Amino acid sequence: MSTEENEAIVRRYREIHNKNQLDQLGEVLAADFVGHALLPGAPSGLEGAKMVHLGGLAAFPDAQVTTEDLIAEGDKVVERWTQTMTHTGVSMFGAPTGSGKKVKITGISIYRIASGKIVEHWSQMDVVSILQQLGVMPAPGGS
Amino acid sequence: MSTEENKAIVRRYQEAYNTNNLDVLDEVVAADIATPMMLPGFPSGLEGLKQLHRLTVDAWPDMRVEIEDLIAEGDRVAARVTVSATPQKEAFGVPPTGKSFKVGGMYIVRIADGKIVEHWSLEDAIGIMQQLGLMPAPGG
Repeated sequence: MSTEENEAIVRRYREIHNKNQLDQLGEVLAADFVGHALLPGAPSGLEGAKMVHLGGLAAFPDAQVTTEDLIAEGDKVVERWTQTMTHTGVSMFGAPTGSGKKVKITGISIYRIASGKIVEHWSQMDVVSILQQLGVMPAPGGS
Repeated sequence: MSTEENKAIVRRYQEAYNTNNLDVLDEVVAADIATPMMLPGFPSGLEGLKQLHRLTVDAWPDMRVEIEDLIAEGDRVAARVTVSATPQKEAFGVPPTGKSFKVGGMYIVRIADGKIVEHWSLEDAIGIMQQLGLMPAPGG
């Protein structure tokens, strides 16, 4: 597959993600994909990915991710992204239920693609910044 | 510049940090490098990166960053890395606990005229705190 085709798969994944159309995730995620960033205790593969997504939505129902840049080489695509979300749902990260705080963070994800689907996924995001923006952890400068 | 040349720049950049040879950074990093994810309190540009590194090595003298994968296209290179250290002094609000950590990280650089001109970096800070015993591990 070409790098353009791989980038298109990641853009489609991102579109499905942002529209919360989890029943369509199987179009771009292999059922047995290896997710290195899935939360511990979550089932593996596609079912785990759906669970993690729903868990996030329960706390941040309006979460949206913007793809800032894609870097594609061989069978891998790197996505630098920003996520904006408002904490109107369940308690998370120690912040009380529905704190109403707005959060914006940066993340980087790496996708490995085979036979037209994402088969492996790594991700880092600025969780400390989420905690600071939710008021659970002191912001820089100590407040 | 080719993606292979750009990857070689990133390997040289990482090696400079791992060997604490910050003079080499002048050869592969632009003095006015943009660092949108830099911690507050540090000067802009390469000087800020050097100060951050000196502070880190002082607190975490055995810190090592291993490159697990490099992915390059055009003028950008992404690195998936493993970061390991045994904190000896307090830094970044993280006190030494006698334990070591080994976590994943990623960074992306943009290269122009043979030098790194922009840099975004993330690491598993929560994993660091959990492995040092400062935050409950998953499930506990």
